[in-house]
Amino acid sequence: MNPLPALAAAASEKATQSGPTLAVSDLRISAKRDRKSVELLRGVSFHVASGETLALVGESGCGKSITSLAVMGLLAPGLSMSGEVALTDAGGRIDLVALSAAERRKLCGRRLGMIFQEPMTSLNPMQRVGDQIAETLTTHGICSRQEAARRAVAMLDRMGIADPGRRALALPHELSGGMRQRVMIAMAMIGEPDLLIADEPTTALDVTVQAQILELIRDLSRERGMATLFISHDLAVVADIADRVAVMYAGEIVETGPIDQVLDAPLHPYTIGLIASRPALSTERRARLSAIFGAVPEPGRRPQGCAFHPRCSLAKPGLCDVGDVPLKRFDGRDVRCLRVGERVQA
Amino acid sequence: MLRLLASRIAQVIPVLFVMSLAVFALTDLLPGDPTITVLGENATPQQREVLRKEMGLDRPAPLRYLDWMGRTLSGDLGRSLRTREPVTAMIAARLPVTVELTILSMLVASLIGIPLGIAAALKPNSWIDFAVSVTALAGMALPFFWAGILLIRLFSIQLGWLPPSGYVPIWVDPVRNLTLMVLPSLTVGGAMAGLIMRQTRSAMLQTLGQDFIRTARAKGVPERTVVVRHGLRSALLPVVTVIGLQSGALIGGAVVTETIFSLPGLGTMIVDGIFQRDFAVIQGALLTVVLAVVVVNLLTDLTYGLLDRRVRLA
Repeated sequence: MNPLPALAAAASEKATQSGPTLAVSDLRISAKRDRKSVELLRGVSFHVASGETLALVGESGCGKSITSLAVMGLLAPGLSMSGEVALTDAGGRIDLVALSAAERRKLCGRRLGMIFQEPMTSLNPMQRVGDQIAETLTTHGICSRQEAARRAVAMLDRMGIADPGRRALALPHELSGGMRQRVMIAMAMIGEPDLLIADEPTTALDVTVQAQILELIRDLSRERGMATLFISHDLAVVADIADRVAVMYAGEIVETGPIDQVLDAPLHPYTIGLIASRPALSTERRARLSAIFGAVPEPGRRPQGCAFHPRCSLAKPGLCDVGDVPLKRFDGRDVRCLRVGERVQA
Repeated sequence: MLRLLASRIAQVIPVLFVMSLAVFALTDLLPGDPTITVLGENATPQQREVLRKEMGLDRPAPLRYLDWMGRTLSGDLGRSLRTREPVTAMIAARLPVTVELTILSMLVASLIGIPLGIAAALKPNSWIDFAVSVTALAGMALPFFWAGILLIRLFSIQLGWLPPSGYVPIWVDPVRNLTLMVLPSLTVGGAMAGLIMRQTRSAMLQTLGQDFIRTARAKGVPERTVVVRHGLRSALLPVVTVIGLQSGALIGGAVVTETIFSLPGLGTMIVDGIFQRDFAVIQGALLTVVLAVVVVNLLTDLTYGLLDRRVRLA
């Protein structure tokens, strides 16, 4: 009776046939500020296969959210974008950057689903949550209004919300934070997207609720074989949910690879710093948490050479402060550091 | 919804009490002698004194207020000192004129102001926004009487399209009534449109910047639906407030417009009453205006409840 395993199987087959669901290559985004063009994203490339979860990790302002908005086509006006964002399924390959706004709109909600960070402000405060979930279906003419309402209730049920028929009639402010986020997820999932983007979906929630929501997202992406792009600043959360991770710094990916490898043996000094600055239960109470000294460069004030070198204890004058640093393949990952080889040998 | 209605009505009662005091005090303090209105300039002081006693004007003001209030509450506003016509009958004849003018003006103002406000908000700082804002400012800056006179010059005198003034009740001749109402409603509505436009623009800009608008776009909702279904509904709350407040002001402000276009409404009734020191008329008309403003505000609050389910529950 359960069609879901079959669906997942079909999805993974699909992936092996035609490569990754989402492939972003050389994505560049710049803003005009005081008549100067400021690069916010400097050539970001990654891919996510169906059934796989890729986490984009970094401090605020590193470009992770703007990357997700660019994929959805929700960038604020005034930003210019170049590069390629390719969405692939059995039907073929579409470059989202080349699409018109109207064509792109047809994909949003249906092929691309997005969960936002703040479930209170991201839901329309004056519309019943059931209607907001059903709107994804009615907007694309997937089914009738009644059927959409019925499916919305079924979706709330799948999200683990008790008494879904009554909750569907509630307004967002009548629900708890965790329930609102379940509503957001239901809204993103009801169109059965190929790609789910979750932008800090648990940041605004209590820790216990966080775990439930993460589990829900993980289960859903498995049972539906979706590709998931998970954005977070929280390495603990990422360790829980991601298959692979891409660490971003100042608009670039600085290290990317399988989650266990990156967390257990980080290669880039920035990743090392991020992991070291994370408190653990085993940390002694009086031990100081280590912090990365200095601050993230503002867009437009990016230093020459490696963007991280002013904050890096391993930076070598004459090497790290000149020229661009390419992503280098090393030990099964890609790392953007010129000294990565020597350090490991030493 | 019923609870909301009940609590709002309870708030209205003290307001009406204070306003009735003010209306009474104002007319009482108005310089001039009502006995002149009744007896004319040539009556002797003795005749006046007799009349004053008869009208109860020799009694202390608080007693007269209680007296007046008692009669008012039982629905008797007295008679005009000049024509001996019952004031309630005069109000019944004139209130529909003012109400019609107010409704039509707000309709004109909303039909101009809301779409232009949305247009300006969709393209902030564009030439559309600029043009709309300048027009709105000009509309707000023009005094009623001047705009009214300009409109009469253009449409009645030069083009001859519309009658300059006069009134026919809508139930007598609807077409003629509406033709006569075009210029007054344009005068008042045009001036109000600017304010509504500014309010719509800023409310819409604020709403369109909110997270839930981005969510709607992420669902693939077409831009037009995003603006109307998700944006406008939230943005309308402050606009409705302005429309409500303005309608209140319009009923009071009818004095000027009705005088220009010689409409027999409450405004002209007040003006005539003041010139003739016809106290019962002034008091009755002012009290009606106060009541109308209060009712409009009540309706505004109830509209809130209709637009925003959260208010209804509160």
